[in-house]
Amino acid sequence: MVNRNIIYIATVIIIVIIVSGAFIYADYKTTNQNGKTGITITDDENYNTTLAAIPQRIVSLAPSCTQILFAIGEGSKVVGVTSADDYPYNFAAWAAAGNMTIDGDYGNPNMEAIAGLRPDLIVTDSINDPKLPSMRSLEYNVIELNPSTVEGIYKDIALMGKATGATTEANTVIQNLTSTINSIATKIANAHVTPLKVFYEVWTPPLITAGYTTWINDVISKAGGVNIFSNSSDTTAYPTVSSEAVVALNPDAIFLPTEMGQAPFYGSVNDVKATPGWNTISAVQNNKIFVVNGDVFAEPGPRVADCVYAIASDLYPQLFNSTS
Amino acid sequence: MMSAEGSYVKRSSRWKVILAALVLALVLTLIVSLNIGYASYISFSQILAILGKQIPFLSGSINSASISPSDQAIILLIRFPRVLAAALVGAGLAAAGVIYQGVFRNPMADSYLLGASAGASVGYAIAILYVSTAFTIVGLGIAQAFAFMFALLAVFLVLFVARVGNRIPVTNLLLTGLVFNIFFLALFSIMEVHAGHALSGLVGFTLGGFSDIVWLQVWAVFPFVIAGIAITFFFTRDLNMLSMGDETAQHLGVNTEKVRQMLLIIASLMTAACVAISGVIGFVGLIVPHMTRLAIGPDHRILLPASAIVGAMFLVICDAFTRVATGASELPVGVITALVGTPVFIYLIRRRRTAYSL
Repeated sequence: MVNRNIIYIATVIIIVIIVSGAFIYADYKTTNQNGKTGITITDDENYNTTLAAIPQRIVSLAPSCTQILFAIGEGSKVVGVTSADDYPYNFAAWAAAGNMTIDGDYGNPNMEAIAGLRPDLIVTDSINDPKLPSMRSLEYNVIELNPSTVEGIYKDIALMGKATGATTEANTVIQNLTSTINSIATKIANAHVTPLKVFYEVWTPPLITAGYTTWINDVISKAGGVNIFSNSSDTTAYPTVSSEAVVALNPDAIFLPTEMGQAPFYGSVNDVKATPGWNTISAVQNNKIFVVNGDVFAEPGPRVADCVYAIASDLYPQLFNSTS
Repeated sequence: MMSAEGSYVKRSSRWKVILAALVLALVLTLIVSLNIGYASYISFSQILAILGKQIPFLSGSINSASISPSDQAIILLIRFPRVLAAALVGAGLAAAGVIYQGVFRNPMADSYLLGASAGASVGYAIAILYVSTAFTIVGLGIAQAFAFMFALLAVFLVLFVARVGNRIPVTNLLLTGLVFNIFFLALFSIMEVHAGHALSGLVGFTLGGFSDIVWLQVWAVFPFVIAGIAITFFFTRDLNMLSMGDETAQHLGVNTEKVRQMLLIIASLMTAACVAISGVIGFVGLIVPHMTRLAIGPDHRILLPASAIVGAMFLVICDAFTRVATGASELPVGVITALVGTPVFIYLIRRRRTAYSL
C-alpha cells in the first residue's frame, strides 16, 4: 500500500534529519563555547565549561562534590547542598537554622530551589546525567565529576581548584592524600605479604559488587588487596554477580558497607555467614568479614585516604595496629 | 428524521456547554498550579506581574519593583514550561488512550499498548549509558531524542510484525504489542543491571516526571499533541463506527483498515512525543478516557476533546502535588497519578447502577 510506504520512508527521513542535526548542533556548541573568555574547565564527561569569572555562588548536587569544595577551603561559596549531605558539617542543622539551602535530594535536584539560589556554578556527579541538558539550556555552568580511579579523584580536586581559583589549596589536599595513600602502599609492599583476595558487597539481594571501572576497585588495590571481580574485560561499574561465583573465587576478606550510617541494611555479617555454601569461603572460615562506612565508600572525595586505610588495616592488621 | 436531527442539535449544544466548562476549568487549574511550587514565597500578585510583563501592551503599566530576577526565572523558565508540559502530555496520553480503546474496542487498551513506553525506556537507557550527555539534539537532551526515536521504532516494529498483507488484524496487534512490550522491558532490564550510578536516572524515567522541563521540550511536544488531537477530531465519527465493530463500520461506508492504521499512527506519534519528554507516566492513558466516558458518555465527538482536557487537568494537578510533597524533595508523578486517579475512578464506577462497557 502506497500510504504505508510513504509513512515508513518519512519516518526514516525524520530519523536521519534528527541524527544529523545532533552532530551539527554538537559542532555549533563547541564553536560557541570557544567564543567565550575566562577559565575553561573540561569535566569528566569531556564537556567544556567556560567560566567568565571565579564562581561566588556554587550549588552542589552531590555529597562528594560538597566535600571537595569544603576541603579546598571554598565551602563559604557553597550556597546549596542536597538533603544527603552530612559532611564535613551537619548541613541539615544548617538548613534548619537558615544558613544553608537544601537544593533537592541526591539524584533528584529541585530546579526551583536551584534557580532561587542564582548559582554561577553547579557541581554534580554522574547521577544527574539526564538532567544536565536542561540545566545547561537554562545557561547554568554545570561541571560533572565522575572519577573511576583514586587518581581520577585527585584530578577532580584539581579541577575544582582551577574552577574556584583555589589551585594551591587543592594541590595541598592532593599532596596530603597522595602521601597518606603512598605510605600505606609502601608499608604493605615492604612487608612482602601475599595480596589478599577481596569481595566488596555493595548490595544484596541481588548480589552487587564494585567492578574494574570503579574507584572502589582502585582503593582495594591501593590497600594491597585484589578485588575478586576486577576483571578488566567487564566494564560494568557495579555488576550483579552470582553467589556461586563468590564461592568459586574464594575471597580472603569480605567488606560490607553500612547503609546511611546504620548497620549494613542489605546484608549483615551474620547474613553473610548464613548464605548457603559460603561456609566454605576462606573469609567466612577465618572470620574476616568487615563492616566499613558506606557513606565514605559512596563518596569519591577528600576522604578517599580513609577508605584505603580502612581496607588496608582490616586486611593486614599486623602492619597497622601497633604503628599508626 | 426530524426527531433525530433535533436530538443531535440538543446533544451538540450540551457538548458545547461541557467543553466550555472544561476549558474554563483547565484555565483555572493552570493558573492555580502556577502558584504551587517549592518557591512558595513568590506571591500570586507577583506571578501575575511576571506574566503580565511578558504581554507587550501591558508591560509598561505593571509595577515590577518587587520582582527579583530569580523569581522571574523560576516562574517563566522553570514553573511555567513545566505546567504546560504536564498539560500537553496529559492531553496527548489521554487522547491516545481514547484512540487505542476505540480502535481496539478493548477497555484494557492504553496509550502504551503498542510498546511506545518500553521502546522509549530502552532508547533513554542507551543514551544515558552509552552516549555522552554533552551531545544535544537541537537543544534537546540526547536521552529525550533517543527515547522518541525508540518509541517510534518499537511501535512501527509492532505494526510491521502484526500486519497480514494490507491488513492489521486487531488480535495480532494486541498480542504483538504485548510481546514487544515485554521484550523491550527485558532489554531495559539488561541495561539496568549495567547502570551502576546511572540507575536512579533510569528508574526516574520509568516513573515519569516534569522536574527538569525547559521550554524547548514544550515546543517539541506541542505540535504532536495539538496536531494529533486536531486531525483525530475529524475522524471521531469514524471512530464511533469502528467501535461498533468492523462489519457495521464497513456497512456504514468506513474504510476501516485505512482509518484504523492512520489513527494508530497518530496516537503512536503523540505517545512517543509525550513519553520522550516526561518519562513513563502510567494510568493517564488508561483511566482518564474511562473516567470521561463514565461521566459524559461514549460518543467520540465529545469523548476525544473532553478526555484531552480532563487528561491535561489531571496531570497538571498530579504534578502540582509532586511539587509540594515535602520541602525540596519531589515524589514521582507516576505515583501521584495512581493515588489521585484511583479514588476518582472508584467514585465514578460505583455511581453507576449498570455494568460499564465501552
